[in-house]
Amino acid sequence: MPVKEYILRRLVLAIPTVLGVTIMVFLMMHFIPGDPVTLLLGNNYSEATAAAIRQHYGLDRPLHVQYVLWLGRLMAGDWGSSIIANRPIFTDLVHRLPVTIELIILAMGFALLIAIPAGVIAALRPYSWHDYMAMITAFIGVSVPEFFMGVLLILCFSLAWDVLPTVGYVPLTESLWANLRHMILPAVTLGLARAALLTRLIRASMMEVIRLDYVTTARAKGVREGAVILKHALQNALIPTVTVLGLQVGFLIGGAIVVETVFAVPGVGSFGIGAIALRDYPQVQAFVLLFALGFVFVNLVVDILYVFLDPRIKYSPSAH
Amino acid sequence: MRYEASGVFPSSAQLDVPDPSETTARSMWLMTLRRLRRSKTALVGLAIIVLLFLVAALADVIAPYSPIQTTPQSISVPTWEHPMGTDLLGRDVFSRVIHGSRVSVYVGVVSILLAILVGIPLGLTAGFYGGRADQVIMRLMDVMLAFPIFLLAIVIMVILKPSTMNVVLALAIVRIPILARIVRGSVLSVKENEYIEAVKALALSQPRLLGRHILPNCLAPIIVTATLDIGNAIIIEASLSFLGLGTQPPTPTWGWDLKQNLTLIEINPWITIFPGVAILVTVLAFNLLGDGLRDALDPRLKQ
Repeated sequence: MPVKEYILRRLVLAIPTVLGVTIMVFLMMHFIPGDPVTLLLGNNYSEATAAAIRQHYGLDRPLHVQYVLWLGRLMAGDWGSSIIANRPIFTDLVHRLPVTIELIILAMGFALLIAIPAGVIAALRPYSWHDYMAMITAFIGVSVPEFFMGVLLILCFSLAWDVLPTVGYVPLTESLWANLRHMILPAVTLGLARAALLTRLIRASMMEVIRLDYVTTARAKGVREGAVILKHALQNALIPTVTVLGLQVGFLIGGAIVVETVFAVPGVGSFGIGAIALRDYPQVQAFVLLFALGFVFVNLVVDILYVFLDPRIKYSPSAH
Repeated sequence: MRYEASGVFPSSAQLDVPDPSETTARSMWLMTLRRLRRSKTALVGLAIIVLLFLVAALADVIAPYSPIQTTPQSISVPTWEHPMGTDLLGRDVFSRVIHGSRVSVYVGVVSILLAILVGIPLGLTAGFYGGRADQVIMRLMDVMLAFPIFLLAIVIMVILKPSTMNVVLALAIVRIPILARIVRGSVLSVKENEYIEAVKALALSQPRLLGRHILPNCLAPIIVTATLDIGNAIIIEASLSFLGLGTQPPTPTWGWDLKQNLTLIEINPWITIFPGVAILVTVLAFNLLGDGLRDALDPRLKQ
């Protein structure tokens, strides 16, 4: 199947998923006990205003009509207003999303920075002490919840050895250095569990690839060992890693919610958790919707990138 | 066309043929057990889990103090009297950690059992019958999988209101699509085996075919995933408690205790560390056992 057709097909397949996600998030608001209009008005409640608001937002119309209206507003950039702060949620999201994206990218980068060398070294000397050390560390790494990892890092780098700030945030536009200093602990916290998982994965796929004939051929041709490992073996061993990258972003999003709360990072996650505590449901809805759509989008991008990394997928008629 | 066991063709029982699944099944489990016994790490995991169950069951007997009784002796560092210190309200952290095991073990195990109970029939139906049923079930599962797991758990907790029972429900719901997918995948591959053709030729009833011949051959991946999932479920439970979306105080949970004591970290880090270590050790134990089970059940995966 040509690349263009594959990408097009993947894009078309994403449409029902996106619609499914929006329907679920929309219905979620209807499952939440309590009337949103009563909640919205608070002390200013009166029958007449309530009726007016219901009419304005189409809340008196049938459910499917409400859904279509709501979807239309979303696409127009009207994500509703927060009840507590009484300002457009969309503006808040525009400010907070880049923070969360930066956190996730830094965490992923850190995870790969640890996982690729650790996985390769462990695979090259299986059952050596390097391997055992890497595997034991990785094993413990996948068993630590993010918030506890955050606590341990705060203890080490902020309280015992005062080198990094515990909480707070400085925008990237203000100062790159100050921004990074504040982001290091959250990003490392978020990245460590992923690093542990990816190390195990890279080790396994590297061990498989390195026994294949083409690697032996490369060695027989007299290619230097370093080049055999890095160019011939690693490139193919990383393909399974790319496939799970989309899934990893799912875990990173979940982790970001916790990590942003621990370190008071002003991203979308802390925005959502704060809103849940205050029962600010329009804000909760926006938070859930944005993360869910972001996850779908990342998976789409990973699927498309995959074609370029693994040429075999193009020729497979069953690719979907 | 399907023949009933009592119909035109004699069933295996009538022919007095020993059911092949009986002998193979027994030796497979024996072999698994033998391999598992050789894995030291899996045994360590199992030992910790057994200990954990004992602690959870006997919490009232083991804990030296009440986990919820407040005392004036607050924020104490570890002493002989209070080996893990006391929290802001003067409650013994050691006793709270012991009692906290109950929620973690209960939520971890029950939620996964519940997910298995729903996920297996869904996966079996989708994989075995295919067609319309497969389409409907798997599309629904796909939409659920389009959400990051933790986000979905949060959404469910917002809808259901925080309580231990609802955490169990939320965790079961987020695991169902994953289990259904695994079961469906195994059924699809098991279905193609020749012995299933042979069993079909014996004209067994469909429940018997599914229950006796297909499901047992799909059990290995289910058991491995379930064990590892208990660890994951305990992490998610603790994270939800940490965010205040899980079991509500004063019931002790490791996640909520850690969050509460975090505000005192500069004065007394110990009372934050111990609940965290409890979570770490518990999750580690389930991961060790799950990993050992994977190697034992599927030796091909091990070099």
